[in-house]
Amino acid sequence: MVKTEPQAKVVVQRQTPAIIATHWVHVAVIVTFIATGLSTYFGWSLFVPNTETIHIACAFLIAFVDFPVHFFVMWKEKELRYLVILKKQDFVDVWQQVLNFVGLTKSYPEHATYLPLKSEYYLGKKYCGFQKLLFYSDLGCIILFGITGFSMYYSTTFSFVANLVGGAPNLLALHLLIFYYFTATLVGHIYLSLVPANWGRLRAMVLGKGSLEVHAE
Amino acid sequence: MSRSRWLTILILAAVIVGILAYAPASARAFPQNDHGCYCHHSGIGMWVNGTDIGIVNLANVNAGATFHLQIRSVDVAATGVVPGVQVWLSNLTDNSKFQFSPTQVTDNSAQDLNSTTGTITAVYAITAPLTNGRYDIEITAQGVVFDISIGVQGGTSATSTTTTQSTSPPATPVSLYSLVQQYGPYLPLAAIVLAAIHFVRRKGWTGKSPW
Repeated sequence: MVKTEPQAKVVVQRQTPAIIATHWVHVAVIVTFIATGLSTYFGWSLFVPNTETIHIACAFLIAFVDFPVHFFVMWKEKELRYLVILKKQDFVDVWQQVLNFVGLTKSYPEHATYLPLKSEYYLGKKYCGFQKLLFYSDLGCIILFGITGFSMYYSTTFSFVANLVGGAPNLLALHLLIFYYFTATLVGHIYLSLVPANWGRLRAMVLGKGSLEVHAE
Repeated sequence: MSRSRWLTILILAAVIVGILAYAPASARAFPQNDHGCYCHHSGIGMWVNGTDIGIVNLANVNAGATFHLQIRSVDVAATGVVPGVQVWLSNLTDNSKFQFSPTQVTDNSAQDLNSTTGTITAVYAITAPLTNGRYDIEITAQGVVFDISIGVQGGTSATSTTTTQSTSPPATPVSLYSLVQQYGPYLPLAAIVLAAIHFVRRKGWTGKSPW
């Protein structure tokens, strides 16, 4: 749907304090994780001599604290239902979004618009199809990230993993590839968060409340 | 033509020029430039603390040719030798067939290119033997043994005493690691380019909703 007139907006409680807290704790841990990872890879003097210790500590924190708590909070706050359930329409939406992003169509699948009378999201789309797909690919990649990372660090214990992928250098290659994947998605995540149309959602990830557009019938 | 389209074309042109400029730069360590060293960005290093990350396959080097290899080891836990040194031990079978210059580099010495204590970055000039074949040379860097498999071509056959040149080109394995190292950065670069194109097409920060 393409409209030119300004859309009505409504302020809603989009994120709960628990979601906000876990999100930003995750950001802090990931930033440290990336910084120490890059520092190790390029031999920077950042955090030396504890670079790897901090990196591995972050890995443990992400795998055994950050992620479990994150998922628990998302389940408790009924957030998972907006992300986990993939519908056929989501794939159509993703294709439409890609075409729109590169300028091949003006049509754009509506999402994150609100129905104030029902106090719910239009078609239950709190997040768009792309975010839902990213949820799964990020999850897969972070698991692979952990497996390759821990297998390199504890190479004796997990030597079978190195054998499985055809040698230790391939472990490093996969680890590096996933790093580049996350760097690319992080660039997209930050850029799209800063697009003015999404400011309400960005604000909600800080304050809980943010203005969303009302679905126009 | 509108200003946004001109900007889009300009960005795309800048990206293409950037990629073209990057490609030859990234090939500096390739055979045509240095007789067969496939160490992309000269970046073969040991970043896994206290562990041997395995054999790295370098592609083929011309017999008798000298190439350069940069090796960096970072804060590696010593497990048997002097921790602050990278050394090509000459008593190993294949190591003895190559010439290394220097044969060892000590942390914070004049040949250590990294001033940080605990990190050694050194460039070695390595001269390949005259006999064709695959060799496994080994450097011990801060306690970690690092194996590098190198194919030597264009010299004498290992099974012959004549000086006949080898006619069949040996295999040139390209490791997954070198592929990721070379092309991986294009992933975030692509994301930046897409964001830039999107930004220009949307005429900057308009704040307009797409629906």
